[in-house]
Amino acid sequence: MNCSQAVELLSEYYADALDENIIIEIKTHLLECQPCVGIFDDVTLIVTTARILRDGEHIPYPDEQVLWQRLTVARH
Amino acid sequence: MATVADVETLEPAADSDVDLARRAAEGEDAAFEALYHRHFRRVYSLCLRMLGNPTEAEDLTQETFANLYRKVGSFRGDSQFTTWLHRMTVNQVLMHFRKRSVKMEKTTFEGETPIQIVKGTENANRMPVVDRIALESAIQQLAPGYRSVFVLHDVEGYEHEEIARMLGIAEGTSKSQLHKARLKLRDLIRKQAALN
Repeated sequence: MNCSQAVELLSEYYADALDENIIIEIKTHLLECQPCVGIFDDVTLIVTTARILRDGEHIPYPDEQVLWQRLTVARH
Repeated sequence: MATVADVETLEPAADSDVDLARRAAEGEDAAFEALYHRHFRRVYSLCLRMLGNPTEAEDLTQETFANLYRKVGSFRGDSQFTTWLHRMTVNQVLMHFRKRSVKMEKTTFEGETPIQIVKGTENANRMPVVDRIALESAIQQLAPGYRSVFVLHDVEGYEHEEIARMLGIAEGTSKSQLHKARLKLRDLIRKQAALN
């Protein structure tokens, strides 16, 4: 397996959605290819960070009351 | 035959989502307002992530709650209210995309350079530790189709099967777009870090 093939499969590898033979090929490739390990680690970091975005705590929210008033006008 | 205890457990708790939805459907404005304030942030944040634009997110939030006002009577309590409203929000955004004729991207990035791996150079350009702000900013720079799949899968936790159904694409396309979105995000975060 070369780097392009490995990178193409990294998301499915992360999701554990590949056949065992392919998993072994990727694992073998990652053992000997530091650049691909770097990409895999980065993708993993993006996915784990994405999960904690769901709470939406850091988003700058607009004024809830102003939107409520707009909504009230639109409803009537 | 149901016992009194059974009936009591079937009654929604006062001011629960189910109770408020029922009262809103019966025309109680205060109940609808309570639902609005309880779910406003969740709806707005989903709209913002999918649209990548605060002004559009405000408009779609308003449209979603206007739609909720009209349809709250059709909530039967088969699913959680939050799940039902979440799905309604996603549908509202997708309808907006269709009106805008935003095409869901093909599985390749036309005109973009694929990831080139040069042995011995990759680690020097490793992505910096990614924080929430950097990722949010990068998500907003994604093309709409990639952004939708990434937000629905990695942020909101939908499965590919459901995403494919919602977006009207093949499940394989959803998987492929997700992977390309992740790689694009990595690229955007690295580029942003290089500028700082």
